[in-house]
Amino acid sequence: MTMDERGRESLSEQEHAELMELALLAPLGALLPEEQRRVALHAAEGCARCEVALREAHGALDVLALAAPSVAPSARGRESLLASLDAAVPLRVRPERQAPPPQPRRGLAQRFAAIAAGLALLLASASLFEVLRQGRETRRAFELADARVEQRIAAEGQQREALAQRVGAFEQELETRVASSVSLALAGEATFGTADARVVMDAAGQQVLLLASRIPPLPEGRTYQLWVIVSGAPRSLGVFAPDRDGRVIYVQSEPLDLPTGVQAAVSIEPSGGVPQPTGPIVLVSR
Amino acid sequence: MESGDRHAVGHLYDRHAPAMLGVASRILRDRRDAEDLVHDVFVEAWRKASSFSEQRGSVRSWLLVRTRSRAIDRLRSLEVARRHARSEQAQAGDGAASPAEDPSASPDQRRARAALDALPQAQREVLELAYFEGLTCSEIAARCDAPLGTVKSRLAAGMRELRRLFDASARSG
Repeated sequence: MTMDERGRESLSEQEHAELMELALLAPLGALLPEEQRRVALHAAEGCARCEVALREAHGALDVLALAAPSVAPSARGRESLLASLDAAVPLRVRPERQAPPPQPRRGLAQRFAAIAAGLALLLASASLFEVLRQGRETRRAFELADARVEQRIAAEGQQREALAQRVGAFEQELETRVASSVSLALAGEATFGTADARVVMDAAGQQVLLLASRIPPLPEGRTYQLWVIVSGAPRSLGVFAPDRDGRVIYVQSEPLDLPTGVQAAVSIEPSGGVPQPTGPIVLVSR
Repeated sequence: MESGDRHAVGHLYDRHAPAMLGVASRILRDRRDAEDLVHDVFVEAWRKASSFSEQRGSVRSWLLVRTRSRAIDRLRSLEVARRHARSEQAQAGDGAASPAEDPSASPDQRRARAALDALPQAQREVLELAYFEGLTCSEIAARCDAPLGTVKSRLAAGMRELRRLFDASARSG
């Protein structure tokens, strides 16, 4: 089977006739790019009939060029050309390169086919390599992104687990503290009628917290003293003084035993406090 | 010219420049543009002389193909297109002459002109629009108000007939 036959194998006679007509017009440059490409691809298959059409076309182009009325060049044009050649260095073949052995003369269509095939191969190769390169880069970028996401997920998982443990421990401690704590509101009369005070005693944490407001200042040599009263027996939890605005935030570490019915009170005592209350009780738990 | 001989270029210029100028002038319709273009084609030929092989076609064919190709490119540029419109009525330019009347025209040029003149008007018209104005089949169809298929058929038939007439004339002459 010849190339011509193979080339036409998949084409109907009508389609091939159309291609031959296009091949005749291709060298004229009068076809659309898509048609030009069709001819190039078909010529690359080595169709003998289209080679004849292409040869005819090139011959006709020569005739058309010669048919144009000739124009006598000006003398200045020739001088200008020869003068400019000194600046235009001719491209020379490197002397050390061996010229390839002479090839048998090929037809116009074969040369056209070879060029078209070469161009198509070059473009296809360039496109293929570019697609492959982009594909590799894209895949690598995805892999890196995946790895980073997995690392972040793992790290965040560990963080979440640590936080959950801390929250659990905190909740457990809170429950223990709540269970072992007593919170008492304190109230007063007369000058201390507007005072607002609350004492929290944490037996598990062995801490006492007193929060109070609108506590009036005391004269020199006097101090407030906080008491816890268990079964009617008061025990000192320390002395404190309000700030200029009458507010108190008093924290004291103290071993505590808080049976049911425990009470708290605040008295006014001499500076430094006393072992047992001696002054007036100004605030007491209700 | 392959060996970088400036005299060879001068010889080629004397031999082929009239035909090249004829093609360029016919396409560009401007003598100065045509001279510039032919100058550029020769400089290109000079630079590429070492890569030229006669097995790939005659020097004349190469020069004429390059001239036409460059002229069509230049024609399509906006500036030249405007000038083209202004000088719509102008013809080949100063110094242009029909090969039939021009005593300096070569026998090939005379035969080529005769072959083109012998074509049916419809074929000659589409061939000239395609070759000298660089129009595509679609553009010719629009210009001539003819179906696209008809234009293609006329062009193909014209190309074949032109070559046949030219060859026949060469054999008989």
